[in-house]
Amino acid sequence: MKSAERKKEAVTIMIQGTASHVGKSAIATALCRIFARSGYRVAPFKSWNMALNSYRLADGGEIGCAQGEQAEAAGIEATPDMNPLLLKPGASGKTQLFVRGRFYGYLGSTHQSEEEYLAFCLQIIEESLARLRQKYEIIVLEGAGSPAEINLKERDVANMKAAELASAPVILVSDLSRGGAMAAAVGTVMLLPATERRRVAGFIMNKFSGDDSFLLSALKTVEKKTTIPVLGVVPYLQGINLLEEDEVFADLDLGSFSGGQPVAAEQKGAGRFDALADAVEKALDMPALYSLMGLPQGGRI
Amino acid sequence: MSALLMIQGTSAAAGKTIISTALCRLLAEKGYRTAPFCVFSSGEMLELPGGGKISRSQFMQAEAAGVTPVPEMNPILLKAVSDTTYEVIHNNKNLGEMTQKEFRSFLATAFTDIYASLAVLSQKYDVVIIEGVGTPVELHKPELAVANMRLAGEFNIPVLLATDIDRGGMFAYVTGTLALLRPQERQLVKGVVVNRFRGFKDRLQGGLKMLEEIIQIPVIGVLPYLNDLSLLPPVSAEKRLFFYKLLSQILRENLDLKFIWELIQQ
Repeated sequence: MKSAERKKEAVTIMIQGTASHVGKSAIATALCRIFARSGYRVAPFKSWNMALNSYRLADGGEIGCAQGEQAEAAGIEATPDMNPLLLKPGASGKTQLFVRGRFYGYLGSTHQSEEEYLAFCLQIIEESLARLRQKYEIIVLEGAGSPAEINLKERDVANMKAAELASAPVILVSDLSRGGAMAAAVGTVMLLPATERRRVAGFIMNKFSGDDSFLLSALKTVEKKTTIPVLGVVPYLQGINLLEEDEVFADLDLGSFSGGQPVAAEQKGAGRFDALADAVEKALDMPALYSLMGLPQGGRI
Repeated sequence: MSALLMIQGTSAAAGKTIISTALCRLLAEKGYRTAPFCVFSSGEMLELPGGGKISRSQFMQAEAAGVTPVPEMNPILLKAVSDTTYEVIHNNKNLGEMTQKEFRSFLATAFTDIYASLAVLSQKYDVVIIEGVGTPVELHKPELAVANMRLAGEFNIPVLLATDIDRGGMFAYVTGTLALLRPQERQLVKGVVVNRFRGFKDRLQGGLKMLEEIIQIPVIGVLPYLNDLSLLPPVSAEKRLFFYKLLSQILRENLDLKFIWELIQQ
């Protein structure tokens, strides 16, 4: 009975980050592609997303840009369940809440209390996730921001709460290009409560460039401090792992606000996803990843 | 010997340059003869009137402090040639291209020389505001130590840790940075400055209290979104001065100044 149930429900893995713009979306996109081309039916999932732009679904609904792209990388059609909660800040200072692709109301006015709102969010997340898990074999979840915002912990339905609902092992992505990557990995784990810390199954160090003479010993220090393995170092991929979740104010510090205009479908050939997937697959300890997901080594095909 | 104060960051672009600039102005307004210093800089360089070059950052900081920029403020200048190669200028002498590896061994030998530049400034000014490079815990880039904790340790310099809250993960960056420092290095970190905060400060207070309890180091200020704006010529001198005054005013309103005066007077 139990094994029959397990067979029906998708296996899960979650990508969280030590900050915004560390490359969570790109890594999740790569994983969707890697699993899909190994013959799995894969779907992306991000419980909660705040962004100015969105991905337009075939039915007119809106979800996060990254989940739309990830669905394409997985070779499936994007659905509202893949990003059931989307917040869009408006010019008026009011934030629009989209539930499963549709405008639901303005943030702060949809429920009587914060508690009710959070309970509502969790219920929506659970239902959407359950539907996806029935339909697919692997769900690649993506978190938002950092799971260690100790001042927002109660309200964070995008990271560890989603991981728990999905029973997902968590891979934490840290950004080497920005500096402080080792500190961010160690610090994030230190700030998590023990139950959440146990979910963190590995680190990915993203956007590496330069001289690697001391990289290995640096990673060893991180592993020793946290007792969590580094599953890979992904090189800085010009133009491909820069694909970022489209969060608010994404590019302000670069002086240009390009937002995250979704590129028209015909412009992004499968080739781009494959180049990203190739680089990430090469960089990661894939046997370790498959093993922590309880899947046979090397995928299916 | 002058008072020394150092700004290090929990990431690159955490706001070290702009906070150092603001401190230079603040201290100058308080009547201290103040000079900036940074062991090495990459990026845009400016020709000095008296000959030699200096990075844009230290030039701006000197201008904010109202002092003449001199090469000692920035003994090593780097021009990135590739991912792993720099052109290195040391005390106005072009040493040619070095790989990261060669640069590391150069720093090991140039160490005394580099610090002599700081000693020169230290004799001429009341306060030297020292800007670190990158973060003090780039374990895979040991060459940065000379510009961060090795310098701080050598002269027993109090360190303020600047952190960028805008990108998220600030609590983790601060906690992790301190966790990766050696005990004697950690002991030099006297305060945390949160930069680029937008939102309601009241809502952040609880989180900051929790952070202070974890790290046992005070958060001495939360600054609004300050970025390293390009405010050198062609921007007019008048506008630049306005900007420096504004920066100083922002510190007055958002930083525990008593804490800063005490650090300076120690």
